[in-house]
This record gives sequence, C-alpha cells and structure tokens, in this order.
Amino acid sequence: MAPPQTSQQTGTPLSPAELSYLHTSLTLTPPIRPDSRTPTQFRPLIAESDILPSTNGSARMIWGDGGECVVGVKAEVEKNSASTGGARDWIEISVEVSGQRDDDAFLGMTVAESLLVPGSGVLERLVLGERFHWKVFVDILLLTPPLSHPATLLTLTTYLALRNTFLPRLVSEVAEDPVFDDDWDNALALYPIGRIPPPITLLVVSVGENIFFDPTREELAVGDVALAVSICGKKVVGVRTLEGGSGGVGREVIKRVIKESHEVAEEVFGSLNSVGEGD
Amino acid sequence: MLQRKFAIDPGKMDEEKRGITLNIPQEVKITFSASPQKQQEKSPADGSQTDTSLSSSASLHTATGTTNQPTFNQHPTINEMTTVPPPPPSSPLSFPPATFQKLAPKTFLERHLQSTPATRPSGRSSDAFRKPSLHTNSLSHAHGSAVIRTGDTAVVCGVRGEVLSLTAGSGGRIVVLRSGEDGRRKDEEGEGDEVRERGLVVTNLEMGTGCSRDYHPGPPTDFAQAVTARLHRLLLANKLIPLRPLRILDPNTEEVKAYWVLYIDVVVISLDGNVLDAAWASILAALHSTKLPQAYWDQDTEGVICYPEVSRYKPLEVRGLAFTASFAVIDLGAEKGGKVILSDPDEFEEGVCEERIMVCALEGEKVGWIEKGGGIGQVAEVIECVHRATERFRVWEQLFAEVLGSRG
Amino acid sequence: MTDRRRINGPPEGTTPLEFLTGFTHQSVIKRSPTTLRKIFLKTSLTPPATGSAFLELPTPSSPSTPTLKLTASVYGPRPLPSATAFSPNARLTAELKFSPFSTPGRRRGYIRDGVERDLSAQLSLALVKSVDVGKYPKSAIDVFVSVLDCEGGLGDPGDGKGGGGVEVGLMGVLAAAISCASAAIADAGIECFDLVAGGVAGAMLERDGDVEVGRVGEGGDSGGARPRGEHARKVTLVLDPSPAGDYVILAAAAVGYMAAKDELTLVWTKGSMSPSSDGTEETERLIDGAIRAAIGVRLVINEAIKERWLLGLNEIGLIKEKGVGGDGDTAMD
Repeated sequence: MAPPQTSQQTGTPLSPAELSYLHTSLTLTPPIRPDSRTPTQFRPLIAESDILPSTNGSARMIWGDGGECVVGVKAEVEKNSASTGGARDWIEISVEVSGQRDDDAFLGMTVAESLLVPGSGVLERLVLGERFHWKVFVDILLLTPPLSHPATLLTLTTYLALRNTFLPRLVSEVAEDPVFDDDWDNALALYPIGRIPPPITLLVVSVGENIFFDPTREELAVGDVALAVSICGKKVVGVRTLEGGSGGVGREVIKRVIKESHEVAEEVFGSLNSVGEGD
Repeated sequence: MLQRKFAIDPGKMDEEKRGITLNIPQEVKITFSASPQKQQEKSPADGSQTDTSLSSSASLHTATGTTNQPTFNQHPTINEMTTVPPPPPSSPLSFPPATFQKLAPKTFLERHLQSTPATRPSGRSSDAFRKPSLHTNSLSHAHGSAVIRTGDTAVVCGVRGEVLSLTAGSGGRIVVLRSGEDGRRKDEEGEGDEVRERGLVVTNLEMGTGCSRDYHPGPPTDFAQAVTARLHRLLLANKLIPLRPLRILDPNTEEVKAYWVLYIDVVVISLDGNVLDAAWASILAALHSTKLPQAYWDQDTEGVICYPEVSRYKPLEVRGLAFTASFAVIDLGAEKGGKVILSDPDEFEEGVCEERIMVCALEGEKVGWIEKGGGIGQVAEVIECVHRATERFRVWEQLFAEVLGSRG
Repeated sequence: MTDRRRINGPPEGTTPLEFLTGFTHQSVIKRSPTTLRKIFLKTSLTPPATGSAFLELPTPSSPSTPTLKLTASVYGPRPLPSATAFSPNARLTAELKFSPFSTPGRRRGYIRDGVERDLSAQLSLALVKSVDVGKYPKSAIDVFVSVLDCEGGLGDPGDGKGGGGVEVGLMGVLAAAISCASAAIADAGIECFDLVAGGVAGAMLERDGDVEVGRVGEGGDSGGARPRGEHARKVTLVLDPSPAGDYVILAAAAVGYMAAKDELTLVWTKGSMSPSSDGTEETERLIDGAIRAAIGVRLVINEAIKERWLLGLNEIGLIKEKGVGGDGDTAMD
C-alpha cells in the first residue's frame, strides 16, 4: 500500500508519523478508529425539525464535532414560463457556508444532482394546474462548518427539512388561477410517506481493505479514496470523488464502497425517519 | 507503460545524453512549431557546442548570428549533432543565449539588430510580419467565428447575436426610426451613433485562458482592458457594421421594434506578442462569416421570433476591410544605426521596446487610424509604418479572399 | 452590478433567440453502442505554455452540428509564492472555463459560475492523483482548460432538452478535459505515475418508435411520475454518448482512468437506470463501460504523446526517420 501522504486540502495538523500510525491502525482487521467507532458507526448528532415557523419546512442538525447546519424550505407560486428550461428550475438550491464568500459549488451540485434525479417524482407534485407551479427554494446554511467534510451533515439536514415540508392544498380548478386551502392541517407533504423520499449523501472512505462511514478529517487524509454516494429511496443515484487520498484506486474498491453504502443507507433512513416521528 | 512511473520529458533525456545541467525545464522545450524563436530557445539542448563556448556578451551576436543563418529553419543534421562533442566552458562567466536574453533583454535585442544582416531574435528581419493563417466557422454555437494564428499568437473569435427588445422595460428610451426612402441619408450619417448609443456591438477580449505565463483567470488585467477598448473603438470608428441588418422591424408598420446585439468575444489561446493585430483580424473575419437567422416581430407574443431553417440565415453585410499593423521602435543610439522599427513585435520585443505605433489601413491605400506613443519620433517613422501597414493590408486581403471567397 | 472591467451589452438586457419551432436536433452520426467517436488530439499548440494540448471531436458534416473543442495548457512547476506555507508536494490547481460562445442557448458569463467551479474541482482531483507531486516540493502546477465549443446537454435553461433523463454534456466535457489536460501535463515534462484518460458511458432509453419489451422489466415507478411512455423500452449501455442525440439517457458515469495501473482517479455517476433494482449493479456496469471508453481514449493520448516525442527526437537529430507519427488523428474501434 502506498504510504499515506499529507493531503494539502484537508490540512490536518498531524505529522507524517502520526498519519502513518493512523493509516496502519485503520488497515488492521478489525480496524481501530481513533474514536473507537465501528466502521459503519456515525458520530453522535442532535437533530430537530420544524424549527422555523415561517418556512414550509425546516430542520437543524448539530454534529458532535461542532458542525451546525440549518435548512429552510420556502415555496412560492410561479407562472409557467415559455422558455424551454422545463421543470429543472423549479427547485432552487443555495448552499451558504459562513465565512466563505462564494457558495460551495461542489456541495450545491451534489445536492441538486441527487434531488433532481429523474424519476424521483417530486417535480410532478409541484405542478399547479395548467399555468402555474410551485417554485421551491431550499436554503442550506452551514452555521459552523464541521471539522470533517460537510456533505453528510448537509444532506441529512436537507433530508429532514424536505421530509417535513408541506405545501397548501390546491382547491381551484386546473385552468384557473391557483387558490389554496387555508387550513394547514390539510396541507400536502412534498414527500408523502410511501413515495420516494428525498436523497441523502453518505461520505465513505476506503483504507486498505476497510471501508469507513462518516470519516473524520484525519481519516479522510489517510484514505485511499473518498467517495460521496447519493442514495434516493432504495437506489444509488450518484457517486462523486472527493479530495483526499493519493494515487488512484482499483475499480473493485469503488464497487465495494457503493455496495456497502447502499446497505448502510437503509439504517440511516430508518433513524432519520424516527427523528421526524419523535417530534 | 507497465512500469510504475514514467515521465515524458525530453529535457531530462537530453540531460542524460549530454551531461548538461538544465535548470529551467521550459528552455529545453521542443515544440512542433518550426518558429525560429523556439529553435533558438532550445539551443541549450541541441546547439550546446556553440552556446557553451560563449565567453562574453560581446561574442554573442556572432554566435547567435550563426544560428540565424539561412539554415536555421532546418533540423540540424545528424553529423553536426553527433560528431562535435560539446567543448568545456572556457570561462565561468558564460551564458547560453536564453539566459542572456533573460538577464539583459535590451542588450540582447540590440546585439541582434546590429548584426549583418540585421536580424531579430526570432530570425525575422525588422520589417517582416509573421505569416497569418485563418479558419472560419469552426464553432457550432456562434453565428460567426474565426481562428487566426500569426506565429505563436493564436486567437479565436466568436460572434453571437442576441435580441434587444425595445418594448421590454426600456421605458422612455424608445426611439422610432423610419427606414423608408426619406430617412436613408440621415441613417447613413447617424448610424454609427445609433450602434454606439444602443450598445449594439459588445466587444470583449479574454486573456485569462492560460495563453501565457503572465495572465491568469479572473478579472481582465489592465492590458486586456486596454486592448478591448482599442478594438471596440476601432470597430465603431471604421463603421464596418451596417445598422440596417441589425434592425428588426414590425412587418406592418415598418417600425423598429428590436435590434440585434452582436456579442463579439475574442479568446486568446496562445500569446506571443501583438495580440491587437490578431484579435482585430479575427473579429473582422468572424463578422464577415456571420450569418444571422431571419427574425420578425411577432405581435401576439410581443417578441422576436426567428426562423430555424439554416437556409434563411442571412449574412451580415460588413462594409469592406480594415487591418491594423502594430510596430515597436527601438533606439540603438546614433552611432549604432539609429532607430529600428520592428513590424509585428513578439512578446519579448514588446517587453523591451517602449515606443509603439499602430496604423489601421483601409481599402484603396487609405488610413483609418494611427496611434503613436511611448516616445518621440520623426514623422518619417510614422510614414514608414504607414507604408508597411499598406503592404500588410494586401497580405491580409489576399488571405481573406482565399478563405472567405468572393465576399469581402 | 455591472462589470466595469468589461464592455457590457445594452443596459436593458438582451434575450437569447427564440425560434419558430422547437429546437431541432441535428441527426448525429449513427454508431453502434460500443463505438467511440474519433478524437483529434495534438500537443504543444500553445507554445508559451510549459505544456499544452488541443482536443477536438471530428468536424461533423454539417457545420451547425455541435462538436467539442477544448484546449489545455499547463504552467509549472514553478515556485510557490514566498507567502504560502511550506508544502512537501506540488500544488496542482485546475481551472476550467467555458468560452462565452461555447454553449447553446444563453451566452456564458465571464465570471466562473458554479458549474465551472465544480468541474474545475473535479478536474484537479482527477489529475493530481496521476502526477508525482512528491517530486516537486514547494512548487505549483497550474492547469487551464478553455472550452471553445461543446455539444450542449449542460442542464442550462434553453438547452433544448426537456425533462427526462440526465444531462451527459458536462460529463463529456469533463472527460475530454481530463484527457486533454493529462496529455498537456505529459507535454510539459512533469513526472507522472500514469496518464489519465476520461471516459463516459450512459444508459440509453430508446425512443418510442421502437417499442421492445426489454431486459429491464416494466418497473412500476412508485412516484408514478416518470415522464415516459407506458411501454417498457429497451435500455442499452452506450459508450461515449453524445448529448446531441435524440434519446434519453437515464444514468451516466464518467471516470478518470489510469490504464497502465488499472486504477481510477475520479468517479462521477448520476441517475438511475431501473426503478426496480437498487442501482448498485447498474452503477457498476456504467463504471465498467466508462472505463472501456477511457481505454479507447488512452490509445489516442498515447499516440499524440508518442508523435510529439518522436518529433522532438527527430528535431534534435537523435533519430533519422522523417515521417513520424500521423497527424494525431487516431481511430478507435
């Protein structure tokens, strides 16, 4: 195995010797993680939903390492435009990381890509008759960026917010201007139970023969490859490579990561859904 | 290919062969282009037998003079390469030409120009322009496009039309202009102003493409902004773009309802001096090759609709030709030959010379624009430049005729 | 806020063209699903750069049929500015920019947008793992890629491709950028572990015309929302899919692949092929397909670099042969 190299981007404060030690302990069978988690164990987190009354759906999540993320979902009625842009513009996602001037392109693209995956059925629920549609703004605010990569924190919070997003029920006919039911109890869920839920993105790092979920910054630095695997419902809908690691990896490693992510995602969905019910 | 590491590094290979220490990788670069400039730059690798023996700057011009002999464009023969072993350096203070060029650029250029015949470091004579090449319509999403290459400077220009609708939010700015018989003369006079005031031509030059070491992505540098402004001014001053094809009329009332706006974007691919001439020629060629779709004002949608058929695209009737020629002037001193005017300066010469002249020549041996700055010169200097610019005009004219056919 | 450093259009703003009928896609050259398009790749076309390359798909018969053209130039290794902290490895940065006239529909802006920043990040990721960065401590390597012309399918509004399917245009641009930039890095003489080739594969859903009960069953989309016909249609794996084609791509994968080491430096997949399965098997097949495409592209990169190398050797007189290489135009099966 190639000796671990200090990754510039992750900027860990560890010395080469410490990184080498970490790399060795992660390649053991069974592996030893610095915080004694099992390979598939996530760090503890606090999650709550419906925290912002003026939004259609919102959620907040606090990560064990101090990362905090707030997501608000607002919906507006918009007239169908003549341009051929289509339904792709109906959901607008912005990712703001406090302390960064530009919004994060990678995170925004990851969320948008998995959210707008064809066949998720969400765009069809935004149609309001013949001439109007809902325009949904998903504003993701990373209050305190976590020490590790923020993709998991961000998508889990977004998942919670979207799961708890409700849109007023349409009472007018398809050809009329839209009129809505003013009773919030009758509002419709954007992602009703039983339909395909919103996507989540899991961060996975592979070290030697082992695969670790929810890696810390140090684990990312010594990994052979770090992948962000997006899962929508029961399907893998996107894979992206992240910074970290040195050199390439064999295709078998990548395939194994995808397979394991899919299995772990089921558990994650289960625990996330229990957050919603607990409230 | 199966070894763990491999490097494609001709410089490194030379190093092993000849035992010369090469510190600056780009100096041993071997390029496809047969340009004399590069031939010389790689001389530490191939011509080491001459270079390493240069003991002082005084002997340099003879040494470089030999490499600038008429054979400079040919590959060195194998005999020369293999039989002459590199002699040991005769003095600790000896530089290869490339190093000398970096250390004392002005002296380097002066020595070249003092040799007989006076030759520039690139191997050109002082009044020689670089040979241009032109391709048009190679981009699929532009309405007109051109690629110009002069030596190691290469630019791509794309022209794209968009629609400026006068009804959409322009408020009090609606100006009704008749295009009937009566108004024609007035239009001819005032149309340059209308193109300018409406902003119907938008010229921009992008240099942050990795075209040269000195320009990086991001906002345009002062130099790029200055060149853009000059190009834009030349385009409007020469009145090359007719107003009539840019107007989109209401079919019933003949009222001007909208305009075409031409976005002219020049992207510099490779920069080796004199970007203005290349960029200007690419703009002109792109405009000459521009075909806009046939458009009409649709009253129902209050918008402009275009016919998609390619057969209904109409060429933009660009009026005539105009070509710029840029010069750099260097003063060698009264006793050494006075001032020398360098046509079509490359990046190195632009860096050394401060005095610049630019002449924009028009058809029929006319002159449209002259710029002069950076020093005080005789009137004869400018007249010489005008003569060279008219010569250059014919070269461009012929190239355009070959590539664009009878048009233009 | 207007950009005062550039010449701006009319303050009222201009609109892209609207055509009478919908944008008609030109017919693309018919290929079998496993045939790659020819690639023209040539190095050293930007002489001021340390290394450079130009990549182009072959010029189509009709001038209005979109094609892909991009240039890559590499500068460095050069010393890092003295203000930066010590770095034991070379820092490689990649910048990808679309020219304003390179895309269909709306003109692209001058300032890098999110898509360009995302592609730049992925490009540098794919390249840095192939370069022996440990050889160049305290130095920087800059890679610039300019897209002059692309085939569309970028997911922009007004692109002409409505709902259904994923956009493969960006993946195609990224894969080409990886191949071109890797050739430019080799041209610059920077030491690498291997060359990286970009490859794309997609799962294509055939149009309504040819209704066939395919391998992928009539999966009931639980959302019931997929904008597609009621018939089950055949899904085929296509290598190097063209975004200009008249078909829907359900899922696609792009890879950066180092053929000599059999390793991947980049994986990017999106979309899912079938509603019934879990998507892992399909993703695996897509990645394998993209690797096959990358192997084909790798042959072209090899040829282009060999050609340039032989020319260099010829120039300094180490070999005699006059006729070296071709014109870099290498056919692939």
